[in-house]
Amino acid sequence: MFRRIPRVVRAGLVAGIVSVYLCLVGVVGSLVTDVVGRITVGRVLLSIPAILAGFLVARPRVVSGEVRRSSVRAGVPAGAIVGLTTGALLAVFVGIVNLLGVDTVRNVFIAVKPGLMSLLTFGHAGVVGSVLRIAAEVALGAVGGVIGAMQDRIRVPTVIAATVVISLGLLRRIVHPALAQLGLRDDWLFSVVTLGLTWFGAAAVFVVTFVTTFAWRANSAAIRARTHRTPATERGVRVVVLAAIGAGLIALPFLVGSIFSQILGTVGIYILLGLGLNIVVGYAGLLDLGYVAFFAVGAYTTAVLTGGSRVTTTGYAPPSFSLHLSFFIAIPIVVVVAALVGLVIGAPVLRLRGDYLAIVTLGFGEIARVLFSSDWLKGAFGGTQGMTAIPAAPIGNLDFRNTQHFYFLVLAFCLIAVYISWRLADSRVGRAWNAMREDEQVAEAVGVSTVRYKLLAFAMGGAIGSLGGALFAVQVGALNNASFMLLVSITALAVVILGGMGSIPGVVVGALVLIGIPGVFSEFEQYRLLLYGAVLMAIMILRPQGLIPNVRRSQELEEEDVAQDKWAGAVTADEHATSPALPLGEGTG
Amino acid sequence: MAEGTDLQPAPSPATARLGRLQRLPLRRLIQIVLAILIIGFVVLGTYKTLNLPPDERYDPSTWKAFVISGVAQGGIYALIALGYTLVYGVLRMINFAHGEVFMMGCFASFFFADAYASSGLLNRHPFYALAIIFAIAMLTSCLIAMLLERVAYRPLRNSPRLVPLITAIGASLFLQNTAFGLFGPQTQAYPVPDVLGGDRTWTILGITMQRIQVVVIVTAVVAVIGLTLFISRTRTGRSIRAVAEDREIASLMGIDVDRTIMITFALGGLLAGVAGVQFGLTFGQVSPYIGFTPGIAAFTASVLGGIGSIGGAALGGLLLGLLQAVGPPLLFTGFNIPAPFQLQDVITFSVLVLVLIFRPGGILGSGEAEKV
Repeated sequence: MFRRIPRVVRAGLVAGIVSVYLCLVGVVGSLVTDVVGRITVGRVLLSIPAILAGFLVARPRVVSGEVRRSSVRAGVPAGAIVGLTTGALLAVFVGIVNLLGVDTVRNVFIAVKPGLMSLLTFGHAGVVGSVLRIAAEVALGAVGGVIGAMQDRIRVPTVIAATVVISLGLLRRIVHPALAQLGLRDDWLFSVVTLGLTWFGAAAVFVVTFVTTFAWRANSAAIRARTHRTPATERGVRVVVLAAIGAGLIALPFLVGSIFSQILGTVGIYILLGLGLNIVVGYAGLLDLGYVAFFAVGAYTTAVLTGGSRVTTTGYAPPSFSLHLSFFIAIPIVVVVAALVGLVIGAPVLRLRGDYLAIVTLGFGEIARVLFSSDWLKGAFGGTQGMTAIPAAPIGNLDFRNTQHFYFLVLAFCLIAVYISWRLADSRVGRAWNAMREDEQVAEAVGVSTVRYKLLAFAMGGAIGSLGGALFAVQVGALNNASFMLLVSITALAVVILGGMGSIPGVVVGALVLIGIPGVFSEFEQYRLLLYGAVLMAIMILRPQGLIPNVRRSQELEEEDVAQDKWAGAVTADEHATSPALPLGEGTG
Repeated sequence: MAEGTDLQPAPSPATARLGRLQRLPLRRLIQIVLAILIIGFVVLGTYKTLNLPPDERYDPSTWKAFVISGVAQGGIYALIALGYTLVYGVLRMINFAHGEVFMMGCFASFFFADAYASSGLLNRHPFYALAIIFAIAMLTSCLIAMLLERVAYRPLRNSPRLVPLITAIGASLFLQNTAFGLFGPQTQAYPVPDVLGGDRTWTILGITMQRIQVVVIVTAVVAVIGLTLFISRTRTGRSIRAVAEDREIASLMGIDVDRTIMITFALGGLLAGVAGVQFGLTFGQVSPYIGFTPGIAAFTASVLGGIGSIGGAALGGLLLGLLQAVGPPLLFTGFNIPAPFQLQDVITFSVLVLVLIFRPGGILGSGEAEKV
């Protein structure tokens, strides 16, 4: 039935449903930070479905084997019809809410508030408001249609520039103090009243980004071809780039201030978790959903070894055994303990594959949490109240409690973990993992001991993950079982998946996006998990190799595509080539 | 399992030595040690609990109450487990988000139950009100399950197996937080009609049970029988079995595979909806987070019974319900472990792990399956 509706209307209907969903789930009404002028994040999100749907109907597509591009003249009406449908659906939604009364609807859907309704109808009651909303959606759909029908060399810079403008509008809290530190004025860029971008600033940023991207895309190949690079200059370039990154990393906490340094510290902890999980999932292909177990082992072992106190009903008490070690002496012990736990977890599940392994490890994660917080082991770990007063990690006068100092501690650990992961990837062990992941039986047949390498993957992954736990214990200074929910495992998984399984830069980007953005943009916090769910689904459906794919891993995923349907593979490849904007919209739906 | 099925071509002496040294003993050793430890723990725990001094011991009526509540809990698990089993049977994938389908049904029915409770209909005509509440829950869960299939799983049908699983985890998180955003984070009281209220009991065959437990057990039995008849007797049931057997051949035989898979999800959703209302009535509360634990427990139940088999899901649900209700006091009290019910989830997951290690096909399953 649904298939008989014209494609354009169908796209509009889907966009409309997504829009209504966004309104109901609360993101439109409650994200009220201004991005540009008086346009809030909620409004930006609300406008995305129509633009995206308009874009999708107007972009080049493959019909019976040949690529068809629509002209701008065809793209605009198509987008407009999409917008019309979307708008109509939103108008129906507004009508229904008004008919029932906002308060009645709010008894069920708590996000439906008068503010949301006036946002949807631009403050006008009755028919006028609905007509305005429809007109706005038609315009948005048409904009999407135009973007879809544009040629690549114009569209890509447009989309990148728009993305940069919106991100900059969101990042004022970081950019503003950083610019102030550097002694730069930014009142032309950020409005003092709304705290978003000024229209002038937005336009300026848009134009500059557009021109730069356009020029770069048009000329970069030519420039590269003209400069003959010798291995020596290549190396020189690499040294310069690394030095610049290093300097940036060192300057970062001082630029962004102490609040954001704390967020960076958390990002670093998740980079560690992501790198560890990446060894298990990305390298060895074992989906571990109980990864939080290692995080918990790292944190609790550190707390016990360094001499944290248990929280009891009467106050604090030392644990039944405590060594009062220094953090840096405790760390090797923590790593060994975590590796042993990895072996203990890995051993019983050696023969399980794929989805069963995932569920069983999930079980281990939950068991670990329940045990750490049970009354049974209260003597050691403090039960549900957990532990507190975990000592800092002192070197001389530095105790790394200060968030800016803690950042460097995390950075050091991350660099070590990155180095280990990087060296492992192409080592004999890494290749054995690759073989095992691609086909366990074949790997076994050519002499890879899958038992040994599976256990090794669990132990290595666990050891790196436990570093994250240890740092977490130092960072917050107190532990309880609420910090070790399944969610930690899923967040770490999302970090690995978003960046791309098996990809080290992917883990870093994944952690920055998934931990950094909700951290910086605090009103987004309540929709963080919604975002994670959407990211996991969207990445797996649209781009299973992740944002920064590991070459080998993406080949595996593609092989599978090619094998079942070469032509479909060609279409997907074409889609990726022509729509760099796609990952942008994924977070919304 | 294992040794009988580990058919490998006769290895050369060198590999045989390597194999014997490195692979088999380690695996087998771990299994044997594990088995001994667990049997020892269970026997010792049971023995100690049953030989506690009389004043610390549970009296027989308490044990009886544990068993009955276990059976009722098992009924709920069985219904959710059927959803896992159906989808696994047809698609060979774990629909991780099924617990959330169940939660959504519970939530949707809650608003109707709440409205009927405040208008008084729930107590004036409990039967009609409950019929509508069940219908709403079933409809909602069914729609969510179908939507999930269409949006999240269908595009990935031919992907590597981990891909749909990760999607399902994402879908689970997404649905849970959708409910959070739509309906708010707070736990709300699910209204129970007075006829089924807490202390009202029925005595059946000399066993006194809370009425709600009777309702749960009866609806679960009816649903299992209904589903079995549907799968074995109807044309659609036959096409579901055919698709489960071999998707490609089924489509060559003229079966609309997409439609059949959609119907499978819809059936699972319907049963999850029933379970949602039962959960609400039994525990008297609803929140966006109620889906997770019963979801995992029901999955365990379906694995325990033998995933892919309908009778297995029912049996597994019942057994797991019993284990959860009787296990903690029976095993842990003897060791003086305080608050044994805290460790209920440990039992669930241990059962799951042990079944997968020692009998991956489950109780009614074929014993050997591709999952290991």
